[in-house]
Amino acid sequence: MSIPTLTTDRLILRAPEQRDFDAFAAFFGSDRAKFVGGPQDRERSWRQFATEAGHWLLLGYGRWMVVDSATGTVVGMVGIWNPEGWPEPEIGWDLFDGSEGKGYATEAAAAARAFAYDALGWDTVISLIAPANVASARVATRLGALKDAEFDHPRLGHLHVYRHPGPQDLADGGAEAYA
Amino acid sequence: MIVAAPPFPVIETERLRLVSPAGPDFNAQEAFLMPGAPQFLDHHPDEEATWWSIATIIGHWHLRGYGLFAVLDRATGEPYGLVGPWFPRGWPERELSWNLVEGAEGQGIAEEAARAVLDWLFTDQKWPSIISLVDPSNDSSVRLVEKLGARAEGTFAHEMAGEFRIWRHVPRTAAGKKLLEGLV
Repeated sequence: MSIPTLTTDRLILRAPEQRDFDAFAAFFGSDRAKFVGGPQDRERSWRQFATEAGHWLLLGYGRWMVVDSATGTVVGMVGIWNPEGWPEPEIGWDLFDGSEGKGYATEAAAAARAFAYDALGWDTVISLIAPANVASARVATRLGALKDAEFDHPRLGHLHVYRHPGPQDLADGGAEAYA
Repeated sequence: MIVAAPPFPVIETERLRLVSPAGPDFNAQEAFLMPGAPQFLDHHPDEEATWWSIATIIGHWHLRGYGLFAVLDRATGEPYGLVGPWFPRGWPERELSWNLVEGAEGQGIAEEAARAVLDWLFTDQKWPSIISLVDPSNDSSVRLVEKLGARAEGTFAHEMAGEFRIWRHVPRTAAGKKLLEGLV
């Protein structure tokens, strides 16, 4: 399959490629990854990066590299994540060091959610967020998602389940209502 | 805009068909993940770990442009295992790896697949050499790597996977001999 590219006001969401590995590994090697299974060494990160690509080919959706279209800088990884063991598909976002505080996660996640609803035809989608990850919870709230359950993962621990507004809610109020 | 997919070769031998599990000739979801799916990997009790392994094997093709082939019976489609070049981060260099499922051993399948892959790597892909990492206590793999004409040249210790003997394949070992004879 070919991995689609999405464009938003400030961002390009495109397929992960080998050239993005250093940015990915730097994030997963840092303390910033503590809520998403890290920090971890580059060897483990490479296998995980391959898994990100394999996820697309297995399921037909996955996570994109998020690129600042003005500068070409890779600012993070955002998209739909649903490996074995996940309760249901989630919109996930990881912002790399120095790219936080600019609304990139919200902008990219809104595009990923629109892809889930419009291209994949889904009715609902969640985000899983570690209770101590305040910045991520703020993004979820900004997207209009509400905490509606909890989930325990053997490796990642206790997580909050935020459910996003469905396509109908977004159509009624418009995506902008949550921006 | 659509990102161009890497090329996914299909290799055929007398008895076997080797296809990329990331390519259009292979329904990875059906082959690996559906209930009752054919087994390309020996069954692992941890389904989550199995899923991650499969996704990594497929994603390896996406990132590197090559990877492990799914080895199928050419006539029946029966799955025999995974054979091909493998180069995750942390490996000393590109490795020709083979892993047959239980019940597929002892029929020369790994040898037939490995020779075909070596041939493809040396003649089509123009690789100068490739290694195999073999556990010295794995008698059947040691026998195979010797039969393929590779030379032992040292050891590699991996933190998690253990200690391996490094064997180097060069073009003379496959039908890549043709290269040396100027036939290609």
